[in-house]
Parts: sequence; C-alpha cells; structure tokens
Amino acid sequence: MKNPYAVLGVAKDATDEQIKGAYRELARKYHPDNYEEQPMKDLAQEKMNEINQAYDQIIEERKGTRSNQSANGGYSEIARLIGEGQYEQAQLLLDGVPINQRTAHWYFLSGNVQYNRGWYDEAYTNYSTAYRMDPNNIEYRNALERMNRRHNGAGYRTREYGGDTSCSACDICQAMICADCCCECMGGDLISCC
Amino acid sequence: MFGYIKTYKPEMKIREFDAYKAVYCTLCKQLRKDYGFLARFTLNFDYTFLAMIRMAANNTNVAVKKGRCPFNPLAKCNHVCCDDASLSFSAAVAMLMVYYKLKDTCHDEGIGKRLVAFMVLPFASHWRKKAAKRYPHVESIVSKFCQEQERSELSDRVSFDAFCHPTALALSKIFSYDIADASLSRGLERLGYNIGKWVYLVDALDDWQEDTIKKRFNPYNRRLGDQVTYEQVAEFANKQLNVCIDEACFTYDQLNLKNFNPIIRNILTLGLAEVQKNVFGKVKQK
Repeated sequence: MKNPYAVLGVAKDATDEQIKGAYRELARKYHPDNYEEQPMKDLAQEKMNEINQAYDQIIEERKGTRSNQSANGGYSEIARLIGEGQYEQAQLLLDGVPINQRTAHWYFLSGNVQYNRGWYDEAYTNYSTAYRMDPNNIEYRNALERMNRRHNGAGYRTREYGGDTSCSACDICQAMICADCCCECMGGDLISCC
Repeated sequence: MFGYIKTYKPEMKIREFDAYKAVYCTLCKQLRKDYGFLARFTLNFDYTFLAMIRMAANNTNVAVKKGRCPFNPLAKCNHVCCDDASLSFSAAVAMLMVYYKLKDTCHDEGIGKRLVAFMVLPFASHWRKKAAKRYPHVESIVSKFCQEQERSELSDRVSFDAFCHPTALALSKIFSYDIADASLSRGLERLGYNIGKWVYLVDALDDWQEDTIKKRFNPYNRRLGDQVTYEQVAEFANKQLNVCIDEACFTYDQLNLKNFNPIIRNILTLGLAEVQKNVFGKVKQK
C-alpha cells in the first residue's frame, strides 16, 4: 500500500488541520460526481478511494497513538475492505467492535457498508448517528446530505433527466396574457395596461 | 412480481413501444409453447422487463418478425427472435413465481381467494415441475426466497431492510443468473437487488391499508409502529422507494447495455416513478 502522506501530498509531521485541508482539496477535485463521462469516472473513483483510505489511515494512526485504543486500529482495514467491495467481511469486523467503543467513524463506515448492500434505512440511521457524534466532519455531513438528496428523488436521476415539470414564472405570465386576450375578445379586460 | 414494472408510455417513441410490445407478445407465445394455453394468463409486465434485461445482458442478436396475435387473429403483432434462452428463462421464472405466490395465497388470504388458488394450484404445480426441470437452480432460488420471506416476517426483528432482503436478493440472483462476466454479473445483481426491493416496498404500500385493518404483517407498520398515519407512511415510503430507483438508474447506466436501452431507461427513470405515484394516490383515496 502507498504511503498515505504521499497520497495526500503532505509532510509526515503536518498538523491535523493541514491534512484535513489537503484531503478536502483533493476530494473536491476527484469527487466522482464531477466526472460524468465513463472512463474518467472510473479513474476518479479509484483516486477517490485511494484518498479516502489514505485520510482514514492517517487519522486512525494519529488517533491510535494519542489514545492507544486498540479497537480503532482496525478501521483502515475495514475501509480497505469496503473499497474492495467485500461488504460481508467489513460488516463482520464492524460487528466485532464493542458497543461502548463505537466512534463516529464506526457509524460512518457502517453506513457505507449498509448503503452498498442496499440496506438504505439502516445506512441512513448510521450516517445520522455519525453526523450527530461529530457534526464538524465534512465526510459524514456529505454522506448524510447525499442520502437526503436521494430520499427526495433529487440524487442521480434528476441531474440528467430534469424531472422538474412545475410551473415557472414564464408560464404564469403567458397564461395571464392569454387570459387577457380572451377577456378582451369578449369585451372585458383582465390586465388594464395591456 | 406483480406487474409494477411498467413503461411510461407518453415518453416512448412509437418504434420503442412496438419493440416492447413485441417482447411482450413473444413471451406470451413462449409461455404457451413451454407450459400450455393457461400459462398465458399469468403473463405480466415484470417478466417482459426481465426478458429485456436478460437479452441486453447477454447481448443477444434480436430480430423482429411479423406475426399475428393468437387471441385476436385479426390483430397483427410483432414477435422477437433471439438466439438465446432469455425468453424461456423469463417464462420459467414467471411460472415458478406464480406457483409460490398461489401457495402463499392458499395459506393466508380470504376464503374466496383461497378457493380460486386451490383450483389453479394443480396447474401451477405442473408448470413448476416443468420449469424446475429446465432451471433447477432458479427453482431453488425462488423456493428459498419464499421460505426466507416468511421467516423474516415471523421474526421479532424490526430491521426494515431485513424484511425487503429476501425478495431483493431473489431478484438480484435471477437478474445475474448464469452471467459469466464478473463485473456485469455484479452490476446486474445490484440492479436486481434495487428493483426487487422497490417491488416489495411498492407492493407493501399498496396493501398497507388492508393489512392495517386486518392486522396483518406489513413492513411499514413494523418499522413505524401500528398507530402510524397515512402521511407518515407516505413520507417514509417515498424516501425508501426513491433511493431504490435512484440506485437502480445509476447501476443500469454503469452497465452500458445496448439492447432495448431506451425502453429500459424509460422504465427505470419514468415508469417506476409513475407507478409509485399512482400507488400513493390509490392508497390515499382509500
């Protein structure tokens, strides 16, 4: 596996803030949503996974050295399994973490696993919990927002198919002018100035 | 599989509609050929969709030829010729589903429906035997799905996703049945999973009112409590259904399938949403 610091392009002694900043920058650049064309999208997805993994790994490493919690050490492994599509395995590892040691990141990863398995209700619950435990984390917030968009039918579909068929201001004006013409034909008037 | 997977006709081109109808008619013919005259009456749109997906996944050579409708010899209709087993596969799935659905009806529905089910069951059982002979693996998928569904509904667990899982899993296996290419197979699994989940949830929504009155199992009530109002169910259901469609559309687009592409997209992006809307309207009116 590549050196996570090299992937994010930061020095090994960079502060947490610098790392977070670099991660955000890269995530914005490579987010698959920005690459609609098929070949680019694959690459972007790959790169994105790499960035996510690197970020998770650094954060977990730092958390691990700070609090010496052994349970946290497994998260980068879980993130790797999710990236490879081995959801059952990842779920098993996640289930192994005792309830009182489950961090916001645990709930976020659980949400990812559940989402990929198609268990959307549970994914949403997990993302919500992750967000509640750490509202400042951009990754958790994005996941929750993405889920909300999909709930409202404004996720993937509308971007392409423009499902908006509601009445625009233009339609209203047109209708008013038409109605005015009709009224004038019958001798009345609806809009006095035209 | 209860005929929820429909096209949205106003947005279809005439040639697309003709092609769709041709698949429907050919499936009807196939049912007669494989399982006899009565089997024809079990045909619905879901299996037409399945047949199209299978033909698309196998990248079959599809040709259209002219013919006549056996029900109405005056009406001309097109038939599809394809060089693989997609149509007979869909017919077999239809027969297996019908058999297990009838068996289920014999157990729990009202007396009238049960009587009808008992009368048709011998035919269905004959169809099942034939279908199982051709596709033993599919028979095991469907029978297992029914057992699992029953078990999940009887259990005390309240996980909403777990209730949908057996149906979704069955469709995911049926969609990806015997597809050699690993990434295509994975994509079809995912597509099938989301379609299956959507069908299960729409059906549960359709039955919600009746289930609530008769105090029968319904996943929405299990998830939201027995005292839940229509508005609450509608809001929750709409969210869940939307995610399924969204994910299905996304997955389908990733697959880059060619056969019947505009028709399948019409179904996924517009047809399902329309059916969903109608079901909401229907439940609300009650």
